[in-house]
Amino acid sequence: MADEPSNDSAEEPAAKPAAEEKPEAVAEKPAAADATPAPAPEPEPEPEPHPVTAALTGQFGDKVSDEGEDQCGTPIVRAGADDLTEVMTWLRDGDLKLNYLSSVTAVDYTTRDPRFDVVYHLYSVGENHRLTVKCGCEDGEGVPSMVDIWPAADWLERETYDLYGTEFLGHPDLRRIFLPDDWEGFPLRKDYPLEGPNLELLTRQQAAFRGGQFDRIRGEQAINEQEREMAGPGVVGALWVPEPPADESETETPDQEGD
Amino acid sequence: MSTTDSSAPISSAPKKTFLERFLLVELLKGMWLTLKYTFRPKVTVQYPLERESVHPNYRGILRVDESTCIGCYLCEKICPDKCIHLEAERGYTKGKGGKYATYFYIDHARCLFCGLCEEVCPVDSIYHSNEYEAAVYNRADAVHDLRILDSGHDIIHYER
Amino acid sequence: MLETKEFELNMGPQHPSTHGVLRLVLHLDGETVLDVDTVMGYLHRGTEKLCETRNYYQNVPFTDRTDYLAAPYNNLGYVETVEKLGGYQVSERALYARMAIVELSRIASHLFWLATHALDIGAQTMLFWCTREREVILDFFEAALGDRLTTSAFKPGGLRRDLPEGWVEAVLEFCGTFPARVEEYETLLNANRIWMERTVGIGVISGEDAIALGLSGPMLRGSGVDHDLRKALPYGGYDTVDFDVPVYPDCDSYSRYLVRMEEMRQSTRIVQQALAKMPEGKITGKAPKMIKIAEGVEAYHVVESPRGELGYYMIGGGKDIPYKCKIRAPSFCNLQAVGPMSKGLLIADVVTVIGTIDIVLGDVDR
Repeated sequence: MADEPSNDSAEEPAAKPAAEEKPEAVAEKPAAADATPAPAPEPEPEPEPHPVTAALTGQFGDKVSDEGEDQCGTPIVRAGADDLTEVMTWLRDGDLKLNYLSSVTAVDYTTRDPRFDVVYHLYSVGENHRLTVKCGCEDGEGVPSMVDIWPAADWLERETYDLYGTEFLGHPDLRRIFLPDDWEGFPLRKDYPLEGPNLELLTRQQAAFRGGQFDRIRGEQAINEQEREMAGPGVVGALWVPEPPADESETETPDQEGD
Repeated sequence: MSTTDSSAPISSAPKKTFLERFLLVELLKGMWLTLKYTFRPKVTVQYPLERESVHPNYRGILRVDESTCIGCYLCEKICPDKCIHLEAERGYTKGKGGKYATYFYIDHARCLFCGLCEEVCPVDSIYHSNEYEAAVYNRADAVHDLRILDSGHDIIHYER
Repeated sequence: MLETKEFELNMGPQHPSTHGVLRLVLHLDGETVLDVDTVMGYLHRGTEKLCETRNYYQNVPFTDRTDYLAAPYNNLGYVETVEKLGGYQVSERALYARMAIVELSRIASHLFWLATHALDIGAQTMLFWCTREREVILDFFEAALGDRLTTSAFKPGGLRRDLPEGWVEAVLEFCGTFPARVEEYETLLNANRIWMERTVGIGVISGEDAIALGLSGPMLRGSGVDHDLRKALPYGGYDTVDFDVPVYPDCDSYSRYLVRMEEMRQSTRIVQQALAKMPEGKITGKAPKMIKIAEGVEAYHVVESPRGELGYYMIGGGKDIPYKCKIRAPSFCNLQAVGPMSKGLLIADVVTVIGTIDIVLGDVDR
């Protein structure tokens, strides 16, 4: 009976690729990023810099570079890791009064040279304007911690470290915040599989499951006792399928003759 | 870090006179309000014996109309957590031509009840019923096959 | 002679007053809290990773599960970010329908906060009364959105389906009676001796500290900072409705309580105005069936959820799935204050502090 399903899929190639498209696309995402046609509407960057960016470049010259605006009209600037503390201190205390650190995160561009961008979203309570500051960060290196400037950065940087593995130099207590301390890998990196690092534990059923071939798995044949024990009740439990009636599995292959 | 001086006068908390404090006026007011509710009609229902009906728009347990399904895989594709699995074949059966689903499994233990499958179905074959009692003793029972999806699963209705 | 030692006490993760699975390691001197170490992540489901593997429509149900007490607000934050990314327009009917729904969710969320917070402190009646009103709101959600808690309410461009017949009238009727209910709650609590003993002067954090710690929402407004994103950076049509932002300067749990009570009244006003302004017309949006955002196009959009600043930072990847989707969770940032706020208090007051922050662990851990 285990052979029948594979025959099935060979005979019916037209329908299956559609269902299998998504998982493949996910796996190849970073590599295929440059091959997209993407004629999506993109507004032209404005020739005149945002007043916030202008004030910042006026203060620091070419230590910061203008990266335009995002879709909400928030100006984006990029600063080097060496100048980051100086720039951020001025942003908080200077004319812009960006006294509120809204969020810290990182973006993983696997193919780019500084692999990560650490992104700070700043806000001014009172002046009501925003600024996004980006800072490149190579894998294994770090950016200076902002805890001394905004205490809010404490947990936000721990979260970013936990999920991306970007170091924050000078952070008083840089350890994992969501995941257990002995967790391996950094889940939000693009090379980290969605199912987690212990893929071999998830058994071949999981792979079949991802391909949308759920119904090919038949009770005992697919899940032997050992695998069930290894993967735990949560994983295999979701894959349990009621045993099909005996006559139904018999008619599975002959059905094709009707075509 | 500076903190506000806790000995500073508290403005937003209501001030009370000595008599109010001594006679527990605020306590009596509260008790009076609670007492009034004793004589109002109940808003609760005795659940297994009385059942609240849900709005027709409610997204309950998924059902599939076997006779109209054209096996287009759209619901399987849109499902955010891949709880729908079907296999379709081309052929002439049940009084109609074209594609039909040979296997159709929905794992209700994984289902998010988001309604996306209902939305994309071109023939309105898959739909959310108004049933909400999906508890089972065994995870395997939460996986509904085409027969259960078409005719509905067993629900025990208690009566007073 | 007498040796004293710092005592460590584990509170949670299965503690009724931690509102989920939050674990606090309290460092105690007698019963006085010296320091708090917060351990979280028991509910971490990797929502952000999941969002990078599903398309823009499929991600909406995941956003329900972050802050499940105010799911429509999460849907709104996500959906508005996608609309900003793609430049999609929302019809006016959808705009006001959304506003009414999310403000109802704010009321529902504050009601449940009041119910559980009061229950933690010892006022049991509030649980029954608040859930009674919340049930009515959840019935509205059930009729209009299809589900009570995990609504998946909106989709990019508009709503999933039009509002059912008679829905607007029912909501307006509820809005007519609701302020009287809020007054009833206040009769029970405002001057209540136990309530005041447990909340006045407890969990104090000054306005400057609140800003520096990145607190938002009622946590800021209860510390005397007049800041509401609905006024500061209006989104979703909030600049067309009239409402007040309650601010109380006492920085303690009691003033945060007053802020939330007043917010419920103001939300009722917003719902009434939004439903009055809502025109007839199409409610489903103009967004394409397959949303594709070009590579590198990014947006950081924030909304004022019942808990504070809810932000979505998304980057398009040139495909139908986002390259990056970061959720700036208000509960997570607000929870950072639990240490500074509970220093020097007693263990019983830590319960008040957790309650007054109004955390949802699904939002904290994501």
